[in-house]
Amino acid sequence: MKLVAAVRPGSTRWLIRHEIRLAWRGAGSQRTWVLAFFIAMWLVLHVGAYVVFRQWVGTGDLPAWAALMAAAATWAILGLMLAGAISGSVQALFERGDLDLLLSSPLPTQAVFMARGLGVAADVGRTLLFLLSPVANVGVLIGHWRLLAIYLVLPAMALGIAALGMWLSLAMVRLLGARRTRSLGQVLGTLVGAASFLAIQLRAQFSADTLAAIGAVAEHLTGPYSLLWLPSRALAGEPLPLLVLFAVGAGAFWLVVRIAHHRFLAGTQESVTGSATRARVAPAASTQRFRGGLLRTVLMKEWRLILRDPKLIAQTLTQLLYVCVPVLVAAAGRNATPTALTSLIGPAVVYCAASLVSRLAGITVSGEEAPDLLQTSPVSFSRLRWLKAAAALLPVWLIAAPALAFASGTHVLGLLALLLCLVGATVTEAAGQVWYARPAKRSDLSRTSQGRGVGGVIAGITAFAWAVLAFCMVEAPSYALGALTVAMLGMAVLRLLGRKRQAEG
Amino acid sequence: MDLRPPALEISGLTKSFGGRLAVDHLDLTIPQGEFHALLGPNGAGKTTTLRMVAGLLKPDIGTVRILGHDVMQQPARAKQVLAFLPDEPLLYGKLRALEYLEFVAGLWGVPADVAGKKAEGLLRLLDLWGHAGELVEEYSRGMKQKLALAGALIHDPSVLILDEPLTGLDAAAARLVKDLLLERVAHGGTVILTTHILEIAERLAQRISIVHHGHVVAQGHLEELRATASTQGQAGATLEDVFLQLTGSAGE
Repeated sequence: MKLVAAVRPGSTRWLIRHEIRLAWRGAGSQRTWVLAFFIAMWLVLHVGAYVVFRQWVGTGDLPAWAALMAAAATWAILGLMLAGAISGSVQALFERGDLDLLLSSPLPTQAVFMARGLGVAADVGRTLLFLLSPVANVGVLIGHWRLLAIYLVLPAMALGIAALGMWLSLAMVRLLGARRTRSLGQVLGTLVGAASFLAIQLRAQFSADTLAAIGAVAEHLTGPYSLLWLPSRALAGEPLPLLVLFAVGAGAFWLVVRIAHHRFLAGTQESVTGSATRARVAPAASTQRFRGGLLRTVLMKEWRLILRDPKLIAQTLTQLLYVCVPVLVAAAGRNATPTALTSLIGPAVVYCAASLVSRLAGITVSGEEAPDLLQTSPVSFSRLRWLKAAAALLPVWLIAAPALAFASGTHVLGLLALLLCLVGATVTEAAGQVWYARPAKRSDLSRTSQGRGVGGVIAGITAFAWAVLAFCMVEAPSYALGALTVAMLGMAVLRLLGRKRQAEG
Repeated sequence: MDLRPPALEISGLTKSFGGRLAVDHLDLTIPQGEFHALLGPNGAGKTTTLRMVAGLLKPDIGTVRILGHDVMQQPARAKQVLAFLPDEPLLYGKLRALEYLEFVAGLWGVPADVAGKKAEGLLRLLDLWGHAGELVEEYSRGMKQKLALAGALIHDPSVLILDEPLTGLDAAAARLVKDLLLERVAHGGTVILTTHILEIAERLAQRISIVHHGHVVAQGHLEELRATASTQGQAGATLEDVFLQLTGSAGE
């Protein structure tokens, strides 16, 4: 007898099984290989955890600053989980196409929301479980049995955060609508992630003593039983925090499902009809004047689409942060003189500008909601792509040029040289996007890779060569010719391969 | 005798996907100023044909001329006089209706003052003016369909090709669009549409082509098609009878 036969159709377990099946099939055609890869990675993480534990055991107790870092990391993770829960809740409760079918069936709404809520909780908790379960397993092996608490605390945290996310998304959907709430959740997640990354970078600038002092001040200000320490202490297996967190998390979820599911039902209906009720008065349509010109209309269209997509802006800025902060931290780490530091600003700006252009041009060139419209227009597709790339280049030049003027001081020739490198690096990245574009719907860009294969690698190396050239012209003129040769060679190869690719396409 | 070049002239058009023939040596000539309906069962090759006409797909062999301009050899000239409305037009959700029309007008090089007036006129005509300041993502499906039609008309195309243009429209909007299309034909424009609603073809089209297995199996006025069916033993047949008989769907 099959196991599934024991599950009564329409029950909560049956719905959960349905959710799992959808999630599994939604994982793509290579899902078995992906699963095998993650299992292998999970095993490797056990080895990593063991290495860390051996160090810890060898030096005695955890270092003094570790408690502060653990608490900060736990709260950052909770923030990420909440952002994920908001996005996941909006998707699960308001946007998934099958909700109408389920809610119009004779199934109890409570069972539907229980299954959806558990799905959201599983979604926000799985990554953390993947990362922390090796710590618990290895910890038990070497005698830290209290770390088994991770298996209790994590699901409780996931349930509690899912409940909070569901409540928040209900409130926000009523205020903002489903689509904006989802964007807000994604932006929030991006910002928390970026803040965590910044904190890790800044942490490297503090000594262990400084961190321990900050930890002591924080503990003094908040007290040892403060909520600040609760999640990390629960994860470390302390009984009372563990009990409190488990009760709060599981209890919040139970309350939401048991008591509030009718409100979710009402919220779902409102979200369906919400666009009509939220319809606003058209803002003075008659006053808008058309302005002609292909360049202008393409630029305005691209800039409007970017500015009205907070998720893309947040992702772009975060990506820039990931590139620029390590560059600046590395520069500061050199203990360079102010003059030498100033000489690094120019190349750093050139490189960061190229990275930003790569990202923005990826959005404007590859991301296109109406490709049929463009292809049926009398303008050549290649020309349109370059115009779209210009929409990425112009604002970056506008931002980068003043920074380069600052870096070059009063040296006009130096400024011209840096501007040349800026144009070279950014145009290279834009060309890489134009010649190696992978068209996709703009809304899918955040979910799909923007990789351009060999073209992307060559564009990246060439842009870096331009940044090196900017550095050499100030610090090491004898190497400038070499950097220039690499940059020009890179552009030539990029064009050659791009032409071949266009001919094939 | 009309010495003007045909609005659309397709000759030996062929396209296959992975060895499967979607369009098979299709020939079709549509004179200027005609309302022409392209009918056919699902998978007959109508949409593939129209996408090749619009320059979205490259034919394996064959030629397409729009007002005498070869789509492959002179794409810019051919596209300048053409508008194509796909069955599910994709719009920019984050643009407002007027911004969308301004962009489309820019693509076709319509002078700004002309485009502005034309956009307002079209939006008023299609009952969208009250929503002109809203983002397109807030529109219903029917409103999006009407906006896409406005976009197709902003450059005043001589040849208008529409793939299932009435999908998603309510009765009033469908009537509005039908009147708009008839008016264009009355003023010398050419309208070519595909539809699964045979009644629309019967009421609007001056001539009808029935496509099956990638080529035209019958073409002509409704009476001519009826006669074709009559010779096969069905006197007084409706367009539906003719369609089912010619596509071999009757009794299936």
